[in-house]
Amino acid sequence: MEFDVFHNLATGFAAALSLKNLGFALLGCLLGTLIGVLPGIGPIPTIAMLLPITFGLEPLSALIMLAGIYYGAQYGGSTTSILVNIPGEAGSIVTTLDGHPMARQGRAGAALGVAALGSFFAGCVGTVFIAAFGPPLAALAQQFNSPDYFSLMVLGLVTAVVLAHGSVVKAVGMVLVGLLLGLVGTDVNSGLTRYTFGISAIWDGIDFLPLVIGMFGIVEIIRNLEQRQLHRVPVSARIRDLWPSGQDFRDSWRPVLRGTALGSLLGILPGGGAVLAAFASYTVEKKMADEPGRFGKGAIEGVAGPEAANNAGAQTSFIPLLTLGLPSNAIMALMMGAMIIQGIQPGSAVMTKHPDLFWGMVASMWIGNAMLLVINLPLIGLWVRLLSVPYRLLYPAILLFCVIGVYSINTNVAQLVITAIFAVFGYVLMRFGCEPAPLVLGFILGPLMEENLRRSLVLSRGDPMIFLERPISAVLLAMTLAVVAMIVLPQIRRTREEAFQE
Amino acid sequence: MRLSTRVLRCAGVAAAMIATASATAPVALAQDYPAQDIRLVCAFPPGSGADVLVRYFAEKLRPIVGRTVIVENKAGAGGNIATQFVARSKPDGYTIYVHAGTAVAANQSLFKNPPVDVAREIRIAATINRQPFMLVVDAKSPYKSVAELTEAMKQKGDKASYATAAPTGRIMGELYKNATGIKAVEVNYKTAPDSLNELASGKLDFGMHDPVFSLAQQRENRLRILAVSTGARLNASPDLPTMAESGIPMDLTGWWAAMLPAGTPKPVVDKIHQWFVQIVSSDETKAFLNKFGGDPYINSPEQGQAMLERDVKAWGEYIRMAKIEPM
Amino acid sequence: MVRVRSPQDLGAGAAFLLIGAAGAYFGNDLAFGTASRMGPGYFPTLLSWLIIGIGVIVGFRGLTIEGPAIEPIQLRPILFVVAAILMFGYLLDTIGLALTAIVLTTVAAYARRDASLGEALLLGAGLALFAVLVFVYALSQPLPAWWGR
Repeated sequence: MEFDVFHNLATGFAAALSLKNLGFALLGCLLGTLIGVLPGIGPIPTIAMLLPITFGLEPLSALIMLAGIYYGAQYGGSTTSILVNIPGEAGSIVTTLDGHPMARQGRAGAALGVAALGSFFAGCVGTVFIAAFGPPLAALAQQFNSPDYFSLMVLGLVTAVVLAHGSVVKAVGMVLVGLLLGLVGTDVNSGLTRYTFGISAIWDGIDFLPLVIGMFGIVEIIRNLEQRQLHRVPVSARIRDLWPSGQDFRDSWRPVLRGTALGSLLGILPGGGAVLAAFASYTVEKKMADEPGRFGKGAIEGVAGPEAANNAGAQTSFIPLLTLGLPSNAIMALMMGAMIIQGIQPGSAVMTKHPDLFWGMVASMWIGNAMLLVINLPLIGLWVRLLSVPYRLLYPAILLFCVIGVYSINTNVAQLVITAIFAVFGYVLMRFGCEPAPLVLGFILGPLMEENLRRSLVLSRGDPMIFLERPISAVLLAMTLAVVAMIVLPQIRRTREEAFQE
Repeated sequence: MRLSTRVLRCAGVAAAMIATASATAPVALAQDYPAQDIRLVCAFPPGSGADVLVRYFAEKLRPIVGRTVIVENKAGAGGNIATQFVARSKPDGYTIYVHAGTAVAANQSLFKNPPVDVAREIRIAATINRQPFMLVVDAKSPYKSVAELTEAMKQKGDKASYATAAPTGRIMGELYKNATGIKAVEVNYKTAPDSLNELASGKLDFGMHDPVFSLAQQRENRLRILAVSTGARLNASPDLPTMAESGIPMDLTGWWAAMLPAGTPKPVVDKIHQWFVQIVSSDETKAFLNKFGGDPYINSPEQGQAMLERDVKAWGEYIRMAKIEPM
Repeated sequence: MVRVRSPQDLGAGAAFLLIGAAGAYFGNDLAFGTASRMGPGYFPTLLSWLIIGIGVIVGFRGLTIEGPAIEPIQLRPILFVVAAILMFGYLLDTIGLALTAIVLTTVAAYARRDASLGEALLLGAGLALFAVLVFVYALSQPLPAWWGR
């Protein structure tokens, strides 16, 4: 069995290392990094726009390029999260929590370095996962039924509360508001619309990008403008500050390992798997740290873990597509489209009928990760220097890219109005000391949670025991209780201490 | 002083840009058609099955038309956003809507206030294919025919459950229940793949799904297709019986078409019709459409328009019968 | 006489109360259903009431536990930035990306008190060029570069 894997990988590398395919990998990675760095525009419109070009290419070359765009964007997305506090997609949100404070402290280089190196490690491990454990992991994912998904979402939501470094009660409130916002749109089970007020733009729900750009990006710009003196990040040109220190490495390697494990497992689950990975990793790191109070203020573990989880999830999210023909997220759906255009029927047959395609993809992922490391590390110096551009020139550019990105979703002006509304909304809430990150997690997970809850109850004809009867669901709910205990008990102890002191 | 020079220079640049733009702005006349780039509108997000189909046609149109053909995705509101966009765009032939005629017709009755009166505001230029919905069961289940399934479902009564993910599937389910009297409970899913795990674990007894998904899963030996919803068997899959053959009268045929806003001049409509006929008649397209479970389907613009009007009424009936609440 | 101990908490409490009340009010006409067969209104109503509850708790804390004050709100940045976004949306289809980018940059520049028109226009022109090259030509996004699509 092991010998087979090595033999297959060798075939794969032979195919992926051809000059042509190396070129496509490089093109994909560069393009992906570019769009990842530009706030607002993401991999989905780019891949969609490049799909017709792949008509004329060979299947392996086409997939290598598209895949390069995907994880290139992951690398690039962490750059904007750290530098300007604007996440380009769900996985990068968590990176803003500690990555940006690090940048403000002049440690942008360290943050970017750890993110890149951690992502590389995670990418390599993820690739090995695909090669060695692909089919059995996919089989595991197929066991998930609606009750299991529900319990997973509940677990995810509870971790959202840990994301806040301020008041826990307000974080819970923000999660609930996020859940409510997630319900805006059409209800799957009944076909009725909720909270849409007849506006067709939000008929399918509020789009993720306008909400995130509004509450994170625009609010950030406004916040910076309110400072009397536009902040200048202390930037030093010393090589030492462009690179993580020895201490940084010592602090990061364990979070990277943990993040990789979480990401590799959660990335396989269709729908919300990879997103959950970054959030889950942050929670784990915060709980395992000696001084959880450092989180939210520039703790490198809060960057290393989630970035690794993110990238591992991105790699393993290919597994359901390559082994079962089931796309686990929108980007995988695009890749599937690319395969169909090439005349390849995605499914379990791909491994046997087109082994060079499958193993070539796997090998090229490793090559792509290596390329991205080589591309991104020297760029760190460039990005850090970019930060020294006077903010008054920088923020209109950021604003323009955000706005273009939001408009490009649907070429619909309504999306910009929604962005503006969420900017005001986020600004007001921020003034009242409420953080946006828990809201966003509630927003992402809420609709999935409700859909699966109601469907589970329809399937069980109203019997709530279904959540405990299914083993996966029971385990997840038990874990949820454990996490709740971890959060609540220290609070109770603290309140009791306060009461005793008085 | 320096400031005003800069401003003047900017103004000069701007003036030059304006002059160049107006000089080269193309003027679209019916005789010169196509004098501009063409855009195909897709009502689904990039990467979806529908998007793949639209992009295929964009690719095929490019060499015939000799101009750039881009695809614009306007997903949302069950296709209404795209339909509205197309109905409101200029009827000059540069905006072509590639979508299912049945979906456009059904939306008239699925919504309380449909934004567009399709019979009057949309013109069919060419039809593309004809495709069914399919009744699927898990590959491990013992049912090999609709009759066997119906028998088992009658035994199970209201403990039976089935999956639907699209309005057509819901209608198909209701028609099936009406004809046989079975009491299976409908379970909705956002997309067909979401129901796969539960079909495999036996929580669902059967599903009413789109052909792309059904065929792909049958190929993977995960699902078995028992019947198709069209009135007659399809050339793409001649060994799949129809529901009608199994005693359940039904003719739900989805058909895709190239559509234009009403008021597009006839010569432009005809030209677009020619292009699509040329593409649809090719063997390559036939193979492509077959892969999606459909047959190529060619009709004149007038026939297409008649089909649209017929389906607006037919689907209104179906939706009433299925007691689907308009949203 | 009730003293406001933590203005931020009081504000947050009020915000949550408002959101929850809106949720409950606008979700009123949705069918509630039962716990075993939840209607479309079940979850939204439940959430709305929970949010109202949080609003009460946070508001109470605002009146009893000391907390930070709300920083003074400056209208200029938020007004100009939001105006810039809305203007972009309104103008893009009419006059194209290049000109709209210049407008956006200029309006956004005035979000600062010490903005200079010349610098803003120059920056705008530069960004417009970059945006058109990257987004319209390199990335083929369906954005009109000029007017008259």
